[in-house]
Amino acid sequence: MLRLSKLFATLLLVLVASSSAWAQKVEVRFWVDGVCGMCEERIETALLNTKGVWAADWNEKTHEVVVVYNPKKTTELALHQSVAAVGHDTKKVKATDVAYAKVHGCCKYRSKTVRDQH
Amino acid sequence: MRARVWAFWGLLLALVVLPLGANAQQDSVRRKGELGEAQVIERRAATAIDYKDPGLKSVIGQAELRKAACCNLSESFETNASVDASFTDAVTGTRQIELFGLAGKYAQIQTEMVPLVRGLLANQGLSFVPGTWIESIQLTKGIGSVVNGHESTTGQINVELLKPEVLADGAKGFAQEGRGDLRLNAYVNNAARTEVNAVWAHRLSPRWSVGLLSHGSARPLALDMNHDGFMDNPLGAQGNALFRAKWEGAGGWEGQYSVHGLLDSVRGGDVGHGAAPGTPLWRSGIRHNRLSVTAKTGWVAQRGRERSFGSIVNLSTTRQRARFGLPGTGLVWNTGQQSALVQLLYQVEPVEGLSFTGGTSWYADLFDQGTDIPEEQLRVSAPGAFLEGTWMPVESFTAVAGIRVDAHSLYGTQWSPRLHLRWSPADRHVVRLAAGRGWRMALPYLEQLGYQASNRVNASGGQPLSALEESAWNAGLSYVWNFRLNYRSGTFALELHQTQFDRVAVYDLWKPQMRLVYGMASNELWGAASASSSLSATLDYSLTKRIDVRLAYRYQDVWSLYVPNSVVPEEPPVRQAVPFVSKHRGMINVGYQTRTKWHWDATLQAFGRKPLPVLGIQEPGGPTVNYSPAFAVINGQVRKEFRFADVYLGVENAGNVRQKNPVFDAHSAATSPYFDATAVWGPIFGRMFYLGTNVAL
Repeated sequence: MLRLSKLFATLLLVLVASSSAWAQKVEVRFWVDGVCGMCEERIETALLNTKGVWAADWNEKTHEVVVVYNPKKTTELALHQSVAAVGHDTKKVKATDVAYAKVHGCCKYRSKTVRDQH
Repeated sequence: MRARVWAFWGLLLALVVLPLGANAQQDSVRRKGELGEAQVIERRAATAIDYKDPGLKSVIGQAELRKAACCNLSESFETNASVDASFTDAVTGTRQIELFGLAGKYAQIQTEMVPLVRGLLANQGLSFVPGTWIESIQLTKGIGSVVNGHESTTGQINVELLKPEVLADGAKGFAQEGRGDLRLNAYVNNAARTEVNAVWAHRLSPRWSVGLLSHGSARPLALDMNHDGFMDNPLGAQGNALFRAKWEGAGGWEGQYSVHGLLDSVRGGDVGHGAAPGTPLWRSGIRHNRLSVTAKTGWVAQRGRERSFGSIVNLSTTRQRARFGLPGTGLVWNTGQQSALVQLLYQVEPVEGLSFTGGTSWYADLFDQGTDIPEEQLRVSAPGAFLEGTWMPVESFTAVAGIRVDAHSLYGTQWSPRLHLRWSPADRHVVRLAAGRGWRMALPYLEQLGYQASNRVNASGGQPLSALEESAWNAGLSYVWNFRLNYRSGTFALELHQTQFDRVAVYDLWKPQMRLVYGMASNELWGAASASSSLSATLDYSLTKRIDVRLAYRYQDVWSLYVPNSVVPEEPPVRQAVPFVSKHRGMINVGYQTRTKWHWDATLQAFGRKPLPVLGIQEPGGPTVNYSPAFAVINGQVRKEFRFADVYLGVENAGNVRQKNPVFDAHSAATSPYFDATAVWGPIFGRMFYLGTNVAL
């Protein structure tokens, strides 16, 4: 049982040591269009699923996203592309109509009626 | 007599249903708060301490609940560092929880604010709430609010079940996909334990939605993996269904009406290998039948100052049949409970930052032993009133002071003063202080049925309906820090809790070959009848975007006063450790999620040595207290999430750690005076695999 506990602790240490927690990080902020908490979820998930992204936080009020990423693994433009790919416009990359069509009805930020509801 | 009871129930029911008719206007205004709330929970960490709550309250959400292997509320705390769950004995399979090393009965355990683990359900009630019915669990450590009752001494556990109106609207579907009118769950493990759950919800109109939560389970195999002649797990079957209707009226009115029915049976004991036909076997069996009706009606002011009104009426009838021992000579208990609970409460915020909640409650219970003979019955009535004031002069400080008085028919007028303070000296730092008194009526024999599973002499000669008064003061101090490190958030919590009993029901296993139950009052020498001190530190941190880690350590010291070993009556009671409670507890939990929605989870739980009661013959000159070894249990699970379903495969007790002899002198259960199945300190069965699936349609 002591052996097991040691094994567990060792595994945990290895996990910490080898994790990307120690990698180089750059913080970037940019504007992403959206309206609600559901958009926030979608935007953040898209960014976090991008290789090299460490943290992402979109603000519903300011529409600004803070992304922390490893510049060796990805570029700022790739971040914009990830967001646009799930249907959200940024200043650099506009989402395609196909991608925009996939966002949920209550998230149609390009429509004035939807914007006014939020 | 019976007729009068039913007439009284009918009257109560009418009382609650009446306001319904008066509010049948048509309006499709939908409340926003509730839906919003549900979404918030989903995005939070799996378990999060409520930053704003004056009490030390954490919410255990769906993500955390899915990590638990199986299957009901008693098993939902496997990844929780505050709540311990352990078996009461080696035959009935009853799992009870502990907070700060004290039995779960000192916490108030309720489903949607209606007491659950109480009276006849105090022993096994936790296993009557299937895990897949649970939306979230709110766990408050330390003394609870006076509003919810007088029993919440060490804490309060409130279980929120899946709500028909939320499910039907798809606001909180499975896997956050916004679906889930029908949810199915199936589970099986390698001991053939099988569970099936179905949850269905439907919106009938803008006003009404209905839901059905159902459960069926079976443990059909009598396995004896440790070859002691006794089943490792009892045989069992359970049928459980809850139907409810939710009404959302105009002008801030709403109501929820539910019917809950339960049939449960567990049978354990001697498997009877190689026994000649007709040989009497040592067996145990517990059956429960229960029917419960709950009506909740509430109103929230739509304009003007904040005001709300709520009523809860719960009526239930429960029958429990228990037997232990050899057929014919063993113990047979048939007990019933008819209960009524009426609670009214009103909340108002006369000025900004100051609010009051006041109300009344009335508990009435009639316990019987299967007969109509008044001498064999126990009638209890406890009307009570409470008032609680919440003062929040600034965002960073909250004070909640409450007082409650109950007039109990056996224990007279009981006061429960309580105080909660919350102070946030800086953003992300919170200090909380709570103190107060709680009390309860204990039915010690029924609350710990498994205590009968030995051939020890029942020297205190109690009856199933013997009642004892228990009361205690609890104080807690805690510090919570929500930090950010390396762009990732984490929580560090440090807690200190102290509970001191003025009166306690003692289960005494320190006397060889005897089991005793008696009430103990605090004395001047020790200052308390029993006490628990605990210090814990917990660290939650998401190491990377895919790895979450929880580390926890707890020290707890629990002791009680016992009658002295000698027969001299003048001798003062002696102070001894409470058996089966380890001083040191540790936990490590690691979760890993991949982009493709594979969830890997592993938990290590470490237990320090536990003091054990005297088994067999006490050798002269030998140690006065024997200890179990320290041990650790590892559980693991992997779960793959799909769009409308998930599949999970897990292992419990991966290290195959086992208590070799959970039943002492098992092979001569019929004759040996030392036979004892109550000295359980660790896992009874070894490594166990399970497979399960959830589907949302």
